[in-house]
Amino acid sequence: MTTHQTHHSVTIIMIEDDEGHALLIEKNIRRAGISNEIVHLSNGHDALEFIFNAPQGPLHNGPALILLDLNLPDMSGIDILTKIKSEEHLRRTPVVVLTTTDDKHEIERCYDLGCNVYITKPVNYENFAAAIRQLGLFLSVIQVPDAGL
Amino acid sequence: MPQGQAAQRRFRRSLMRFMGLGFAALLGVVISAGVLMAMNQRQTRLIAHTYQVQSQIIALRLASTRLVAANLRRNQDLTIESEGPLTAARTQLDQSIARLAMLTADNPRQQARIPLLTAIAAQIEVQAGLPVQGALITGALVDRPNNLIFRITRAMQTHEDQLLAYRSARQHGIERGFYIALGLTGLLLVAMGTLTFTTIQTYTREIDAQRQALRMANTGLEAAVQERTAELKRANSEIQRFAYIVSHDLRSPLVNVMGFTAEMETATRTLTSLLDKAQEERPDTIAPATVTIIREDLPEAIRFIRTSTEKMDRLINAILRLSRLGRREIAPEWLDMDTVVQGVIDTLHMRIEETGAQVEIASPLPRIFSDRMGLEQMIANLVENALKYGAGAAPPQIRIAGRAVGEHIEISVADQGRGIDPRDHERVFDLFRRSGQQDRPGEGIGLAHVRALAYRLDGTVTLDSALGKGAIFTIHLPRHHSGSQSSPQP
Repeated sequence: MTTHQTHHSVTIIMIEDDEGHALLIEKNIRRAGISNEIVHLSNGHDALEFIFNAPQGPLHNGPALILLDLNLPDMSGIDILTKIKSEEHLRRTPVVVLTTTDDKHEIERCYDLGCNVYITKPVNYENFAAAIRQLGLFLSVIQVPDAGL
Repeated sequence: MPQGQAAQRRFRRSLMRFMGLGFAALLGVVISAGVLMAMNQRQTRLIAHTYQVQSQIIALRLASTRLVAANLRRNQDLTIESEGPLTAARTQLDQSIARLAMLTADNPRQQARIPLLTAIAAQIEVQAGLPVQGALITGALVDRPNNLIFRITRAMQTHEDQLLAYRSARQHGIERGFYIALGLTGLLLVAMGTLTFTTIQTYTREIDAQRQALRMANTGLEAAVQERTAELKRANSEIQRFAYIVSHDLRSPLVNVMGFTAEMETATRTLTSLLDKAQEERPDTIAPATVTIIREDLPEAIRFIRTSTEKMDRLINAILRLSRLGRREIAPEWLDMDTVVQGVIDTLHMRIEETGAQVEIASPLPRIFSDRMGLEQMIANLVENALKYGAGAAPPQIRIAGRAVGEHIEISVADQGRGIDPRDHERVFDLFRRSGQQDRPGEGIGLAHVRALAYRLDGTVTLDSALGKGAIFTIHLPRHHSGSQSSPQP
């Protein structure tokens, strides 16, 4: 039952410390017509715990898509990205880096580490909403590999 | 170093003094030697003269004795043949008296005796010339004047002896004086030499000490400069990091402000449509204040929040860009400025066409070893400014020129635009500061950017302008950029 379910329903793991951003992201994902489950984690430690150890986490259960903020209070999102991409079973889990940084070096670094999409959080709300909607489109189109198999 | 200067002055003064003294002593010894030599020579001459006089006195006596003897022989022999020696002796006597007179011409005391001698000689000669008389009488007669001559000449001789003694003593005195002068000069020279040597040695020691102090000071200075440079670098990187973090973290809440403002806008739209509907169906239930709030107050508030946050976003982005500028690695290379400027103009061709501007490049521009991106950015910003702030409706006239000034390169961008009040010449380079009529969009970032870049490339940017007279911005850069940290590459 569980295996069958996870095969088609992708969990969105949102690692974001700013409650406001989290709310805005969620609202816009919903507005874009995406009804996938969203798990919100507000710090790096909890995020790693969930991804690697939680029974319903992506390592032990079902496909996921990770929305990752680079500026976290307890660690850099880069570290989380590195850990995810170096784990055999998580390597192909799509990671969308969502941050205010539009620093070229940082963007390059994230792509080098295997990030799938890098979205700069624009302050302009319309652009931001559009980016999230595109992300929704991306989520609906993307073939999420089955992490378990 | 005032102490060193004083020591140097002191040294120079004493050195001059000693050198003067030395020369004076040498001159003194030469002059005194000359004078003493002259005096000595004179004394020697005088002594020789005295000897001459003495020998002449002896010759006179001899002549006188010979005459007396010849006379005696003639009187004994009574022969005519003995007249010959008599005459010869007489002539000899006369001659020796004349010579003695000549020799003692300088001595009045001796001279006074000459007439006496002449008289006595004449008497002897007269007696000798007389016919033969009684031998005894004649002998006695002749003998007496001869004795007289002997006595007189002895007195003369004594006088000459005295003169000789006196002159010899004087000569000795002169010689002694000469030696004393020589000795004194020698002593003076030795003293002077010792003093000069000591002074030079002291001075050399002082110089050595000062040089060492200077070296130490230099080393200290170098260390201080290095320390200061390191401090500045640290401070600079800290400011950049600070700017980066601040601008970064400021953007985060701004995303929220903007996002939720948009949410409010959406909500207001829903409210407005609700109000429309209510006014249509039940106009009596709606208070006019509610209408004002929904139709005017809320949209107004949202508009202000939005414009302010947008502006804040631009400002934060500007700080972020400037902080990135400082972190960017400078990559100097040889640049053909004609190509660089032409490239910049090409990227701006849309704006140039829009404004109808005339852009002139005063080729050839000098070559420069510097950072391409930095130069492109600076020129682009300056040209954009010139395009933006034209004079009235006239199409901008822009001229880009360059020249080499020693080891520096100047690139100027001149326009015929509205110009900048000289009071604002410093201000326009500050971040977020602008000048003149605020009728063009902008945040006051462009020129701040140009100046930051110029500083980054070890140069400066200057402005020459007046209101209504156009503006000339000049970038001054080293021809050969050598990073302050790294050594220059050939």
